[in-house]
Amino acid sequence: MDIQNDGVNRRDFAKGALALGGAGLLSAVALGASHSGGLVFAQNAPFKNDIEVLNYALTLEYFEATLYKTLTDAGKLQGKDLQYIQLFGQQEQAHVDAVKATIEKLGGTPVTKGNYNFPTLNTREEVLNLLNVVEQTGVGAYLGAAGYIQNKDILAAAASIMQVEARHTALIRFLLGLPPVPDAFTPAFTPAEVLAKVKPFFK
Amino acid sequence: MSNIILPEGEGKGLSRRQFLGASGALAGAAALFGVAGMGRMTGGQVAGIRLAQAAELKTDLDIAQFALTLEHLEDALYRQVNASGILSGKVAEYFKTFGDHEHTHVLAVTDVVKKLGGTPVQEQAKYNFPKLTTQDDAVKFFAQVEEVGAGAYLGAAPLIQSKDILAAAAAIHNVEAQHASIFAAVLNSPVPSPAFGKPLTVDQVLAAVTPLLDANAAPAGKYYTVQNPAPSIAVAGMAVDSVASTNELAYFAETKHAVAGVFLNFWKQNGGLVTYGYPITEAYNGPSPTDGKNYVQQYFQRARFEYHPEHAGTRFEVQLGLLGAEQLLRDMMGGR
Repeated sequence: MDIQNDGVNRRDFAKGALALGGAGLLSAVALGASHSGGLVFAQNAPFKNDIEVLNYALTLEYFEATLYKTLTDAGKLQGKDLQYIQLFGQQEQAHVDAVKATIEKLGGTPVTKGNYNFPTLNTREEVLNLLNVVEQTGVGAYLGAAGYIQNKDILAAAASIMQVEARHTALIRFLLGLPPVPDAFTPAFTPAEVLAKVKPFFK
Repeated sequence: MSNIILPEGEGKGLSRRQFLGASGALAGAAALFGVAGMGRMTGGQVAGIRLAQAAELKTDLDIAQFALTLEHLEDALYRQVNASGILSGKVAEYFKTFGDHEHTHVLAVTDVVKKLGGTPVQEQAKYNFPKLTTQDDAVKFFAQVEEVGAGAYLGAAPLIQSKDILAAAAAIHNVEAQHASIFAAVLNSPVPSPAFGKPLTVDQVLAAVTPLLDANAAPAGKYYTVQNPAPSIAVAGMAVDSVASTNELAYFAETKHAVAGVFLNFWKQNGGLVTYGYPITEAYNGPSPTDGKNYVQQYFQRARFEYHPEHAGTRFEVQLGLLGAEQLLRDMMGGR
């Protein structure tokens, strides 16, 4: 089943939603038994429609936003580290909001925030290293999913989010004193690969 | 073309309006290249850009050639700065690595063009690069170039038909953005990036890079007024050479911009420099960040003027936008 996305324009996406033209819109796609932000998406790859791709993205964005908040609240970061991580967390929340609203406007049912197992981390290096891995996974997830997106405005929006995730990874490596941009191309991950990476953190 | 979307509320991160892609112009990085003024150009006039007309990317081959033109530009720029001797330490390492990336991008995109049956655009024999004499200048300049690169790829991505080419373009685009962010971090710029990347149209990219591609594309500074506004904010952001001030026009060498006519009257009558600061663009015609409709506008350090001829003769003829110079600069620098 494909969504008719005629009349979608980026201005409406800008308001956190998509303008939808006409009938033939897909109603909520059953993603499986659960609509929580659990790893349901992995069961549905490759994605059948844009709502599924967006719910995949939303699952990861909820995860990232929550991780950022948890790590920021844990108080192991100071100064510039803290400043950057706080900002990145806000940006992830903006991503959550935008993707969720888009799914709703498309007539889909957004996944809800999941339940996570976050490790207790004691040093700035541990915190930043974890965020680096998670962000890199996020970039790879978007890159691996881009080819499934049918609607061009959704693609544009997803790419604009992915770009910021890529910036996050580079800046986190910069904070760690690592080579900030090690590759000429950022790596892509399939949903299965993403699942393997993030599964330990999902209850 | 993208609107200038400004953050809603300090400290809340940038708003979803960042997604706005309707017509408008991001102040081109060109404004900050320090190139004086710019006349109209078409894509066809610019050496190395194989587009029949500016702003037309129809096929994957068009897009790939456009990308290849930019990659050659970056590759050549990096080679020049890496040989210049002005870089040192960690920053020199970054430049070396990023330059290698751009060369890899040239090879990859060249491959794409060939696979699509095209004859790859070549690196130009000569470019019109600015003279960079300090490391700081180099970092600032390259930050802008990389932002244009990231914005160009982001703008073109939805137009790409082949999924494989899309994947490659998206991966390259991510790296351009990473380069830009690292340069900004090196400069210790306050805010690393907005929540959403900004796409650029071909017009906006051309406005930024044409002066680098073509020495003849930078004319003596032409100022723009309400009556004769610049066609886009990208053009309006470019510095203009000094002109003699009159009652009708004031030129400010401090920011290399002029204010004239209706806007000058308003500026003078309402506190001038103290209230609004210096002009930081020329007058231009473009969509307002407020309602997206086209108006003649001009940015000052502390305000944006918007011309409303429907209220001519009243005090509503010139209206203020809610934007200040910091937000404009934030947008010019990709949100920092």
